[in-house]
Amino acid sequence: MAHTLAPYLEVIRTTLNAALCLQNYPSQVVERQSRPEIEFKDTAAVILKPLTIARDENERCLIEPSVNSVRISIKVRQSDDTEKMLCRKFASFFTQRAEHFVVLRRKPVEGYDISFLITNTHLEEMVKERIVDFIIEFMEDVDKEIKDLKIALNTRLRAAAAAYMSQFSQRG
Amino acid sequence: MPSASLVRRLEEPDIEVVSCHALSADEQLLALCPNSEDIVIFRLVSEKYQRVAVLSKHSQRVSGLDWSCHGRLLSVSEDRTAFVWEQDSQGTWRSSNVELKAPRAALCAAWAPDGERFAVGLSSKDTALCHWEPEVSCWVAWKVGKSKAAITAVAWHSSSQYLATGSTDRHCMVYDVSLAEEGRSPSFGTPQVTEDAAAWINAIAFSNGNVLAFACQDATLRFKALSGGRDAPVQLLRWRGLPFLCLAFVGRSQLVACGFDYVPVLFLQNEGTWQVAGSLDAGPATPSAASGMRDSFDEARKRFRGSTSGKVDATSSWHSNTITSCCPLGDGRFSTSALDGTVLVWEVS
Repeated sequence: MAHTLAPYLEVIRTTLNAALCLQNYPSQVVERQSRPEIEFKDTAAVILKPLTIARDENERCLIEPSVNSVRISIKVRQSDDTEKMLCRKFASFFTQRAEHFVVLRRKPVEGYDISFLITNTHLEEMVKERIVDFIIEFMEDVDKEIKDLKIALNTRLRAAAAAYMSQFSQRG
Repeated sequence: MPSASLVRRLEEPDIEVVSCHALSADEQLLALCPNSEDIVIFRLVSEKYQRVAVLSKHSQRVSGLDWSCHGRLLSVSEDRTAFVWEQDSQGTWRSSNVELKAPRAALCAAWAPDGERFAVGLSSKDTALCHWEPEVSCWVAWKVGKSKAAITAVAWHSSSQYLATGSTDRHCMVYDVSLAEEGRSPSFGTPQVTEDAAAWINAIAFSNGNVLAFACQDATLRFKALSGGRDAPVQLLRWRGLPFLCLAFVGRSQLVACGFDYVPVLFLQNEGTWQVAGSLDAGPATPSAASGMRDSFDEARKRFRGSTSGKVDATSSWHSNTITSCCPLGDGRFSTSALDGTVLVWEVS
């Protein structure tokens, strides 16, 4: 597994580096406002073709670039119901704390688990390389975290079941 | 291997981001916008830029600055206004109004080489061409052109008769804006050249030798020699890095392009064709760049950074973030400003 994850993340890193060439772009539709074009879709000319990078159909990443904002959506691998539940809890934990993560979107894009929205103001305040690093690290951590949580959950369940069943063995 | 030496460096502790700047041709006055509604003016005093004034009349981020050959400063902002600033005999900066007639934000600004008119690229898909109207004592705009998206770049021909505009609708246009005895000439505002660029146009520049250069978001540079007529072939140059945001002709056959790569890149004309000469930035470690003290500190810092991250070295170039604007100064000199809050003056050697 590990050796196929590395090229997947490397492709995402390269794509993000090219996609995060953002500039200030005041709205053509509303005066005195500058808003993320990828969210509002005001001007068709400044929105680029979205890119999907996929390891397989269960694990993919959607990058939607525009002139002043990029939306990155991640679908995390979920092979069974436990992982699905864990992933849902994990995503809601983050989205409820979205303001601390700055670039995190409160609601994921349809069909994905977690979305980020990076605008040109983020690039003015932060270093681009660090933002890309953050997203890549986040993707690595989510995988690892869900795997660890699943193991911990299984261990607890087994211990609980054993403790519960032990009372029957004493009586019998 | 081309290289450029650093002449001057401006870094102010309270300016974290420079969104645009303009340096007058004699390098005495520097105007910059710290990504806010203010314009900060610096004056060169014994090889150091000192803050002399802060102009705050705009109500939103200033998006374009330019000095005219008469020493006037033009500033345009996203609040749909523009001002022309002039210093009076007491040294205070006075603004004169511009009737821009803009329904949307102004994005870029350029003075005509003769200093009599200026052009402002607007988000409302057209260009405002302003001239001085003595009867109402303000600058009044005429609208030129109509494209399908915002005008992100404007450039004047050295004769002040033609104006090139670039837009996010992927087209570069050259308009005839010549004047006749009484106001506009009959051909005023007619497109002379239309070029399809396949990507958003970030910057346009006109050389003295009638070469039109434009930089696109797909990291290409296109050159068109207008001496060959309106159907002259366009030369396409691909850059292996990230796209360019600003262009400056530093000589008849030398073009500097800067952008998302953090380094200025030199392009040279050789027997009619343009070629990539390479990055001009050798990084702060060059001995000609700074004094000995500074050098050893930078080197130590570089080593420290290099050993910890192993990724993109932040100190391998003078700028550590996207270069947002670039001014040609003549004699192979140019100035750049970046989102890292520094303004640099370079000399191509």
